[in-house]
Amino acid sequence: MKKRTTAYFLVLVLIVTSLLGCSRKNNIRTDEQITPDKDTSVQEKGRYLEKKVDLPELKKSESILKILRNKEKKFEVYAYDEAKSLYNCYTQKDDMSWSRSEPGWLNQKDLKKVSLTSMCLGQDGNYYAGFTDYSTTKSFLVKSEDNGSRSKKVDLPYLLKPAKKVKKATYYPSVNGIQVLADGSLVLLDMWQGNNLLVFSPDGKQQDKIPADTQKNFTVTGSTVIAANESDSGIFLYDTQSKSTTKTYDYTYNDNGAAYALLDDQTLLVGDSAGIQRMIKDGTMWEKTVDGSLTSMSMPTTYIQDLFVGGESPEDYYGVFSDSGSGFKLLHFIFDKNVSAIPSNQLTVYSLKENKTLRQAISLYQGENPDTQINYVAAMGEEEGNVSDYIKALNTELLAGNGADIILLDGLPADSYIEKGVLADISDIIKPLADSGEILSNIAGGYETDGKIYQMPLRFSIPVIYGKKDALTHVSDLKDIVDYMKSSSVPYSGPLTYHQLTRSYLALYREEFLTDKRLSDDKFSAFLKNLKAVAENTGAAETMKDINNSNKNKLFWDSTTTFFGIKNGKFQAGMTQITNISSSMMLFALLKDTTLDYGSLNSTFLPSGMAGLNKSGKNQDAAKAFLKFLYSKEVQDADLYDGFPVNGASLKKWAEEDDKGISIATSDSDGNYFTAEWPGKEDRLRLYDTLQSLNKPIKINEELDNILTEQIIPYLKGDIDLNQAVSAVKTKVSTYLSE
Amino acid sequence: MKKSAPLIPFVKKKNRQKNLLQQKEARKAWLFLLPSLLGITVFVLLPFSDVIRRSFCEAMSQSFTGLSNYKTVLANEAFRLAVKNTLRFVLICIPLLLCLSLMLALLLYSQLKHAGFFKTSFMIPLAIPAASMVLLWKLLFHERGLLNMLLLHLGITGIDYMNTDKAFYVLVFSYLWKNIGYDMVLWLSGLNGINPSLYEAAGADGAGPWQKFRYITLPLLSPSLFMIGILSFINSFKVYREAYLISGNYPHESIYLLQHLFNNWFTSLDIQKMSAAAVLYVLFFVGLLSVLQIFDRESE
Repeated sequence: MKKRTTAYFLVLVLIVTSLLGCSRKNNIRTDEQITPDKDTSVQEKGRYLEKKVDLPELKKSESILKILRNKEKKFEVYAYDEAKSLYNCYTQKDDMSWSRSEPGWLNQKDLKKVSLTSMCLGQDGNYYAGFTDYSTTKSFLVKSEDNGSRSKKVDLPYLLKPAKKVKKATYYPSVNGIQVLADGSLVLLDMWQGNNLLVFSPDGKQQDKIPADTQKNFTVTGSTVIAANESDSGIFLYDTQSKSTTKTYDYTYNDNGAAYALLDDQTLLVGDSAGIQRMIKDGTMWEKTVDGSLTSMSMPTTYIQDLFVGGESPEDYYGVFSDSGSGFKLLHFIFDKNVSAIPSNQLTVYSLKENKTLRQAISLYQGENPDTQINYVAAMGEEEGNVSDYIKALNTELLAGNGADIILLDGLPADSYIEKGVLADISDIIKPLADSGEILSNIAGGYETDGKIYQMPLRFSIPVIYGKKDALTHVSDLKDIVDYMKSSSVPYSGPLTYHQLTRSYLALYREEFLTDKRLSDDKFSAFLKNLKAVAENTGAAETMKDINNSNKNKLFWDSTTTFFGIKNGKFQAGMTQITNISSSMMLFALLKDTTLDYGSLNSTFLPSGMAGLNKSGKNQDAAKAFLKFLYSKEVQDADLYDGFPVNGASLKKWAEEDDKGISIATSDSDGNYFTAEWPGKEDRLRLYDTLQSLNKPIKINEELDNILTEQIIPYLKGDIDLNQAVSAVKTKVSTYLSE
Repeated sequence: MKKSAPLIPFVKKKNRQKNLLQQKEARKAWLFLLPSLLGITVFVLLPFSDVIRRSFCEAMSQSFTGLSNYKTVLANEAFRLAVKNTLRFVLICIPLLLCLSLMLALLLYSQLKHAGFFKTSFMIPLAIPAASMVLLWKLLFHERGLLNMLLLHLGITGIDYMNTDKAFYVLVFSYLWKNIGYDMVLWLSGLNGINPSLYEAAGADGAGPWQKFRYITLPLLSPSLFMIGILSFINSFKVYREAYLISGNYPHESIYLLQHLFNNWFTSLDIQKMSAAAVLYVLFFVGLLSVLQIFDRESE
């Protein structure tokens, strides 16, 4: 009886604990798992909102160099007027307007021919600035005196000693960052010192060397230096008086820089793309006060430079950011107790891999719509893995009716999703945009089938052929290339790996042998023979020294061998992929003053960020509004190196953008050297016209291309003969197509 | 004359008590069965009923399509190929595995010396993770693998095992290698259940080893045969892991199995075809089991 009672009791305990485990209340929440709660009346209130602080209106010839906060806790914007060779300082007034002054300490005559590299307001109350004379590569520091009316050079013998000697060239220390401690000691970041911060006494003697990850910024307060540790796994507080680390906090760094602030009560604040987090003195858990994913802090173009705490209660923050598209910006993060803690509108966006344009758009959209939260699920992130596992997980969600509202179809079975009715027709969004010229109609036209549009890229790249003019006209099919190739004794192009050659030519000419879900044996045999002829002519091999193999599926790789070969007349043509104006610099520099030319490859373009709308999404209107926003000028203006914008005005803006002062150089093992600068207006406008003439999207079918590549490479290598290759491909492709 | 006590009420009372006891026992049985039954209902029966429903519907719109999914599946070349290969694999592998493992079990049964060592040795493949095994197969059977190197030293030209018909035999070998130890242990437990006095009596009657095997061992092992056969059949489906890890979603056509097809259909969201094929698959499986069970009962 006793045993039975015990058994019943245990069963009861089991049932009760199981039922408790099934409770709906879930206190654990991640950024990407927030479920919308329809009942807003029970929602918690209060969240940090972002407000952009208007910066002073600058002249066209002016550009911001630094934003500081002065002793009166007012912001100061330092700008350089190139036309007048003059530094200006704009100080924020109580009414938030700006007053201009000319900082005498920066405008001294001896500073006219040198470049400002770093600047700070020291803890000792003086301003400091680092300058470099690029003619000698020597740097020096100056310190403001007499209330900023003049400056004095800081005596620092370290900066006069050579840092590196390469052959005949001598390089001196380069000050990329400077902070000054309360006792006037200097903490410098020298580019040549790698992962070390250098501490100098006010009289210029080196006192200490602090190991740190200098890429993650640093700051000082009192006599304490705050920086990231060498392994990038935490933040340390280093006391320069005792020369010891006083505190270390574990911290997982995120992208786009970091900034620190230490409060009077020793609470540490860190700002990065994840938001602003605080750690109380001797605490162990980071508290996220500002969620970066709900603000523009997570924008890929934005880098945080400085973090300040305001005077409000609860504490407010100011962040100084540099934006690769729009320059500097100053953001104010204020706690609003009246808004819901979790935005009431929830959208989910899915992509296999991280997409920068999408990330940018999400940040911008949330900044403009504080009541909307967009949960971005980048399933694979930047990692490699088994794609089909991720697709199956997504399919499970779609079948259960829980899929994301917007899906980026790159790497996903888009055709199958369209066929099964997963995607909604977005022609009501895309067509008006294309008709009004807001987005490029030539790109949108490539996705219209029977009057319906189910997907539309966010960006696109152009594969181009460059080299002899004759070669450019012989690319209509692979046979055309081979015939042209055979007509000359000069090799057609520089060598590629078998993999890259196969993938690129499959992308261009797959339809020659594979149409209407049927593989033609004869045409495939001809394709293989022609491809082998190209491989032999160009000297393709399994691996190449000068070809980056990090992304082996990237199409249209070029190499320095091809580049210099074409320049020197050793090859007839080459293929490359242009994703933005800067990636066309080498091409235009090569063509300059030669008879060489470039052209599109049969008007094809490579789309990226293919956006589709989930038909069964729960928030269709909001999803459509966001989808439309993705193609807006605001989003598309940013150059994130992931392709040209599909927005017409943005593309025009890119093409019209003048010299950015960028210069690139390349060399090969034979000592050939080549430099390229920003393309001229004529070149940019011609590229702009070419981009507007593209109308044939290249469709990538990873599964099919993998099957084909797997069998084609052994054939190119000579491991199997033509019949074996055709038969192996035929059986696998037939199985694939018949599924 | 002394009157005897009436028997009927006593018998009735006894029967009632028996019934109550039976009911109580049945309740207990159900109580013990309940957790697993609940689990099977929630995780197998209910999802499968959804699969049956989906097999008559369109993938996403869920509109009723009748038998069209079944027609599509039966006409699908990839499905036919997968069924053919799966059946071929099962029909070749299971008899081979049963015979080979029985032979090993008999050898071990008659060889008591070092029996434990051999048992452990044959069981080792079961403990090796599929991923490690695949690595080993790749080393062995790659076009430039160890086996081809060995053949080259013997003056024989190597073969690309995984991209020719030989892939099927690699898979058969893989299955046998992995499962032979397990089946052998099952056979041994069957053999241990046979009363040794039967062999002694047969020996006294002049029966030789073959007669003992033919007339004692084999008939008495027949109950084990059903169970070992079913387990081997179930294990044969697990060979997909190796086939997938070696050759991916689209292996050589000779080792393209039903699981490849199901996997690929799910990736391309062809849930309707997948459901119809799964229903057909289960029907076939249940039918086969029923036939085997009938044979088993008859043999008993």
